[in-house]
Amino acid sequence: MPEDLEVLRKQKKMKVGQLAGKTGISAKQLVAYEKGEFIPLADRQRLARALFVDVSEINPQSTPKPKAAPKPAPKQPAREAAVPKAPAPKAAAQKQTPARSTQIDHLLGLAAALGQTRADVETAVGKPLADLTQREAKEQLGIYHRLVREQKEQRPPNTRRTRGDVPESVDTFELNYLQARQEAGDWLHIKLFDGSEKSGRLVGFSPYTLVIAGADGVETAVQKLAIAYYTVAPQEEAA
Amino acid sequence: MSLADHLRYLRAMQGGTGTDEIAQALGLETASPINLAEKKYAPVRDPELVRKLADYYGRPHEEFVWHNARPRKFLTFAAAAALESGDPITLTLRSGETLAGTVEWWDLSSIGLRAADGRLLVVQRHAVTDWPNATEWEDV
Repeated sequence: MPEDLEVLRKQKKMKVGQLAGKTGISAKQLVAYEKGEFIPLADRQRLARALFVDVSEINPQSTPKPKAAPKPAPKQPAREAAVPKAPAPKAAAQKQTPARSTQIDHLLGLAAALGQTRADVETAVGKPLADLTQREAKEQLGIYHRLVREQKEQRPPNTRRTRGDVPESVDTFELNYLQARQEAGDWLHIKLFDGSEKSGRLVGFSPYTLVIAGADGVETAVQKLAIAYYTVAPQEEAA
Repeated sequence: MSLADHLRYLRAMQGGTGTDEIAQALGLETASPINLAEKKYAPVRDPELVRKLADYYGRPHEEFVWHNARPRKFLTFAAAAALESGDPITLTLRSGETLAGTVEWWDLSSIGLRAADGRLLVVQRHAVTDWPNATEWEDV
C-alpha cells in the first residue's frame, strides 16, 4: 500500500531540507508534493533512494490535507489593542542571537555558486559575517537562494553540470559483494594504507571492519579505514 | 581525496584527538564546524576554517586547499560518469599507487574497479587521493 510522502519522510525522521539535500529536489517542490501535487516517476525514484524505500511505496499523489478552519480573531479590549505589542520571545531571541555556523556555511555555499567570496558577501551584507544575527542570516539566505535560482534559470540548457542522480546513500554494493565472498569461502588479499598486505579467508564483516582468518585459523579484524583496497586472492595464495 | 577524509586521516594519525579538543585549540566555541568538515561531501566553504585547520595540523595551507577542491561528491560524479560511459578510470591512492580499470559499481564507501587482468578491486574511497579531471565538477 503506497504511503504519502510526508508520512514516509516523518517515519525516517527527516526534515524537508534534509530530504531536499539528499534528492536534489528543492524544498519548495517537496512541500508541493506533500500537499498533493503529482510526483513524476524520476522524482519518485530519487525520493525512494533517499528514503530507503521502494518506488511503489511512495504514493504518486499525496492525499491533500483539509484546510484548517480559520481561527476566530481573539477578542481584545480596544485599549489593550492600541498598546504596541512586544515581539514574541522567540523572534526577539532570534533577532539578537548570533548566526549559527551552519547558516554562515550555507550562505557561503550559495555565494560560491554565484562565484562570490566571503569578502563579497560581507560587502553585500554590510558587516562581517561573524556579526550577523540569526534573523539577518535567515534573510540573507532567502536572498541568496533566490539569486542562485535565478542564475540557474538564466543558464541556457545543456551548459550546466547538474547534481548527479546519485544520492550519497547507497551502501549496498560492497556489502553484497562481501556477503557473496563470505558465502563462497573466498580468500581476500588486502592492501593497507601503509603499503603492507594481509590475506585470509573472509569470516565476517561490518560496515567498518573485515574479519579474516589465516591458514592457522587465527582471526584478524581489519578496520576499513586502514584499507586502501582488496580483491579475491589468487588460488595459489589461498592454497 | 576530500578534505573531510584528509582531516579524519590526520586526526587518526595524531592518535585520535577529540574534535572538542581541536575546537578548543582553534578558539572555536563548539566542535560542530570541525565535525561537519570531516563529514561533508561538498567542499568546506569557510576558508578561514581551512586555514586554521591546516595550521593546527602543521600542514601547508595549499595542501588543504588542494584536498578541498576534491570533495567526496566529485569522486562520486567521476565514478558515476565512468560507470555510465564504460570508459576506464585511473585512481591515485594516498600511497602513490595508481589503479586503472572500469567501474562496475560504486557506493558510499567503495568503488568496484575491474582491472585489465580481470580482477575486481574493491577500492576504499577514503584511500583515493586523485583522479582525472578531479576538480572539473561543479555542485549546483
